[in-house]
Amino acid sequence: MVILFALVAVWPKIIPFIGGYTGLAIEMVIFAIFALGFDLLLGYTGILSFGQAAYFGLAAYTMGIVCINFKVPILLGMLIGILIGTLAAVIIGLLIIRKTGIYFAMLTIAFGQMFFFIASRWKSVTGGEDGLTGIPRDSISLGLFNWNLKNDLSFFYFVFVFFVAATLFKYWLVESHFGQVLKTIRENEKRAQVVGYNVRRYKLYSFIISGVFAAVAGTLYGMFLRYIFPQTLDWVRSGNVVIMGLVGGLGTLFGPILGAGVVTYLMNFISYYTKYWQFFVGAIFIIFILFFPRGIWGFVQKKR
Amino acid sequence: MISLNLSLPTIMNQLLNGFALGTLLVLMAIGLTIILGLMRVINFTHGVIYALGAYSVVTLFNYTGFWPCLIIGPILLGLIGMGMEATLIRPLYKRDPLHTMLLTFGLALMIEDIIRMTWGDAPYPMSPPEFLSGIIDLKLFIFSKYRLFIIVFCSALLIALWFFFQKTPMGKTILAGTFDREMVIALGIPINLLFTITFGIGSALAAVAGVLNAPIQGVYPPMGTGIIMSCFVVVIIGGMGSFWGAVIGGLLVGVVVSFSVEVFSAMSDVIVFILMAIVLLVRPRGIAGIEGLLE
Repeated sequence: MVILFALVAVWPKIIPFIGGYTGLAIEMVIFAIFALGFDLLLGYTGILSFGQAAYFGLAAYTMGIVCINFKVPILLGMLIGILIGTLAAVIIGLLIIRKTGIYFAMLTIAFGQMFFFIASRWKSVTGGEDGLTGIPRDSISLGLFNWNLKNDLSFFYFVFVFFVAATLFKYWLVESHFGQVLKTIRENEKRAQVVGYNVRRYKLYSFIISGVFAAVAGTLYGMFLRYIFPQTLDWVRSGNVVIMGLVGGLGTLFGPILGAGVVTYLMNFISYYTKYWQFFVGAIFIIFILFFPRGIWGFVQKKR
Repeated sequence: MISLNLSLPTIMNQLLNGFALGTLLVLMAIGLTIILGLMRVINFTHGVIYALGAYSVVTLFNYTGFWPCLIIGPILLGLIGMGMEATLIRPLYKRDPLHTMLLTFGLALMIEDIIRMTWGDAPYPMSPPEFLSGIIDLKLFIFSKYRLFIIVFCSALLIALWFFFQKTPMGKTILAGTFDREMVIALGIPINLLFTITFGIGSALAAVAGVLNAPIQGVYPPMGTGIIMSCFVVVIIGGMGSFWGAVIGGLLVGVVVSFSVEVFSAMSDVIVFILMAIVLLVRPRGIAGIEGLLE
């Protein structure tokens, strides 16, 4: 894992060699955080949600609205965004956690779309279809020194801090007792229930934590683009994170990070040559489902 | 925002539109529900097949006019559907049903881009064939001829489908399979073939809906993604795996959406999802579904 952090830390320097640029590196890390959270839900707990983008977008929008209209400082704005995103996850989670399987997945889509709809229509607050522009990304003052985030490279390291925190947190979670219970639920929910665990509560916690990851990633994304738009909330966007998870390898520590990196890179790379990136990403996804369902990292692990 | 300007002509008009949309949704929902019920596959490609059906009209129109499209399109797409099933989906049956769903999702993404590649990004405006365009003026209210045609055609097709499922051996087997797959296998019926055919029928139905709706809705690349959610809502409301559930669900959703366009147009996009959420929370098996089908 130390190797991973070292690698990611120097990533912006390496990436130009494969035709990338700092902004792409930032995007890759942001989606890595998002994917880590999603993987907790699907890879470790066995719950599919097609609506994680809702918390991602909600957090970004909230931060944007708060910072632009009320001139709230960035860090506080992020916190508020993350809190609101998490709150949404709590409320929706409480509402739907009783349901399982496809019913649950459909409900996540339904709620995700409701948020998408609100974001698109509530023009006065969210800017509607045009999106919300002018999300600040200036300097943050950390007591002793100011950290200027305008520059892409310094912003990358800002994101990197969150990435390290997220990865460590996830690692701690999955190795802990909590993580073991989640895996038990994934394997056989009824048995976990019979053995005495309050399955519903664990699933709810998993869902909420996943939402937190999504919210964090969302606020970072809003800052990255300095702009946020409704499409960040819809179910197709949630689908992207599903793809990242699967391609990277669900239920592993490095898988989602890898998947997020690979898919983001590919989307960018392919868009450079053709506008039909959806075709290629879809094709890659299908190839993985058919032949490498355990993802890149899962495949590598098997080989060992 | 909310317009309650509901005079009788408006109500009748929206009711008609609702039934037209509704019967189309019913066709698609039946296709979706037999695939779901028998094969336990959540078929995301249903939407893009619908779109392909509509686009087939664009291509074939200049050669054959509108009517043959109703036959050629669905047959072609039924075959394509069977091809997809046999090559890509079949290997995944032994696995977690999640994988088949994700596969169809990936396929849907690909096919949508294929549509863009073939026909371009711009929408094609279309209009109904000559003798069906225009209105019937009944003094009290007016009817769009084409929408009436849709209702009649779909109803006829529905009756034919009902006959197929209730009276023909193959249809009965498919229906039986949605209730008890193991028994069908135990009876020695080649389940793989049955699956492929079912998928083909489902796809063909989606294509018919696409062809029929093209003259009203026009064609544009994301139309598949747009309609698939409404289809899922209908299947959920009606009950997964239920024929009559799909019928009632489809008509209900069709009418609700039509009225919401009229009364509260800002909400018309999202009303479908609100409905879905309510049904899933309150009575997930829908009106006529089999309990615990997908728990």
